[in-house]
Amino acid sequence: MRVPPLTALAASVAAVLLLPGGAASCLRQVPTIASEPPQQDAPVQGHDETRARGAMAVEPSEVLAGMFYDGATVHVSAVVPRDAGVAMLCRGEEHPLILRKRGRVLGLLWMNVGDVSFRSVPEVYLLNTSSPLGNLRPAPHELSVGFEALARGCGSESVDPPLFDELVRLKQGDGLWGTAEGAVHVQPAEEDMALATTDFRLPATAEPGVYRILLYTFRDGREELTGSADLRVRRVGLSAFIADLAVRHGTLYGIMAALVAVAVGLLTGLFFGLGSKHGH
Amino acid sequence: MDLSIYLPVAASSVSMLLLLGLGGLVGFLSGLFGVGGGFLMTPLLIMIGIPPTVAAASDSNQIVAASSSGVYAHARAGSVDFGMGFLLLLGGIVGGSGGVVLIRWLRLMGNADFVITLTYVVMLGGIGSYMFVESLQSMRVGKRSHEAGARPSPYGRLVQALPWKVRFRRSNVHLSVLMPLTLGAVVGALAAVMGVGGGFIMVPVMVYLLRMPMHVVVGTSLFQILFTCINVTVLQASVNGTVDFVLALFLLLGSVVGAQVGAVVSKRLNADQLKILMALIVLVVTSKMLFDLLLTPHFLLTYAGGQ
Repeated sequence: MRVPPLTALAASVAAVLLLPGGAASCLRQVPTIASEPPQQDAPVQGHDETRARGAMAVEPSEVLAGMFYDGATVHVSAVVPRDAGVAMLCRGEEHPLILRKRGRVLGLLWMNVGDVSFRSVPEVYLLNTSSPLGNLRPAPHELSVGFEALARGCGSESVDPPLFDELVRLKQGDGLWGTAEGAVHVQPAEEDMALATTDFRLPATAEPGVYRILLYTFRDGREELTGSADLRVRRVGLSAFIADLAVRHGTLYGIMAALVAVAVGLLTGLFFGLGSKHGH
Repeated sequence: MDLSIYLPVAASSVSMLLLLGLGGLVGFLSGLFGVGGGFLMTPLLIMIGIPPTVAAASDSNQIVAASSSGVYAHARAGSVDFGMGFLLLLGGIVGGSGGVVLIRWLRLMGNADFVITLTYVVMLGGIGSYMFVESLQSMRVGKRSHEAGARPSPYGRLVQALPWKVRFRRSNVHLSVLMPLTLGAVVGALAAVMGVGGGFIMVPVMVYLLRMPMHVVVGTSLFQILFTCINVTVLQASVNGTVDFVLALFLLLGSVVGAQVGAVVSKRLNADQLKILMALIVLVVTSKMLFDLLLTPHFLLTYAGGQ
């Protein structure tokens, strides 16, 4: 008589355990190209300064990560020469990165077979361009943007190209790295200038910190860095308080986390206990 | 409507309902079988995009709540052997420290991951199969009181020969205090080496080596897990800063309720039914690990700090 719940439970656990990788990616946030217009009233500190340096505007210039933060769409606009190719890059802070390498042991079993260290890897690398990278001049191997250029900068003694491609796949899976060819829209403006605009979708997994937005233009076979601006992501409110406590007062934070857990557990037990006492 | 919450330490945004649901499922298993459920929760959290180190640390914070909820429910039902639990815990602390030294030594020898993973799979597979066959047999035989099991095996004689015998009233066994201390230490060492909580090893050890009744095993195991996870939570928070309390809070709100339901169901099922269910889950976990080992992984690089 007890067989149905038994099989049902085992089946549901099996279903959860055996979820293929595809299901995991469904659960992750899917980066979307936002269509909302730039927020005219957003705080744009440093706006004038960035205009002066590279005639570009980033809105908002500061992203606030509160309790319900779910990533942000950042709108960038810049004035560029009308006949130029345009690339806009959102680049995160760079850190050394150590990853586990998976390989076959005894030609049969896949497991960790060692570490791979990259000297300097940007947290985020989102590149939007006005046309396919292959159409820009100079040729891709001479460009200072794109994964090919990034591979040169991330260097490591032990990294061969296939491993860098794996890093790209891993980061792309997280939505932290990506190239979107054709995502920069160029509209002719007065004289021989044009207005280039693009949206970056910054996922919630992008760590708080300072990001650089870089503007590159391509003309007459030459690449030129024509503008740059900072984009700050910071935690606010309760999420800032908790993250701060976790970093600065780790032990106190751990004790409090454990105490709250015990209290909630006991209270729930007490609540259910009272219920069953009345029940019997 | 799927409301997302931002996890400040994990730096990730996840659906609240998903976290509550995951907590409920794992808490249910915890209350039912007396395991922490980290074997299930940690990989699921990694799958939804939580960094591995934060997933493991926040999960132990969650287990503190589920196990205290479970211990409360089992203690009310008189199915926690506090004396036995305390001795196992004491042994576990010593064994855990030993395990940390052992793993350092294994890493120096090289290929530690290979040895550990293979031992883990073989051991889980062995325990699962043994529990499955044993409980199936005793279910077939019926209620012919297999607990009496009067044959004095070499193991039985060894146990009888040990000094400092004490009667553990709740467990209804008469044993040397050396038994729980030693077995606690062995499980603690294994858990430290394999990087798991140890509930899956501890429960069969209590059933087959300490010969405790299954219902007391569940409650006593939870008692031991509670203190182990308090220790892990505080250590992870102070040393690595990897406990995300917001993540843990949503998980534990689900798991404390799940644990209560699990404890109720646990009382309704008989010992053999519980054992065979647990054996099935152990076997499913083993198969999943085997698949992971045999199939070409999606990514050839992974973030450090996983299982």
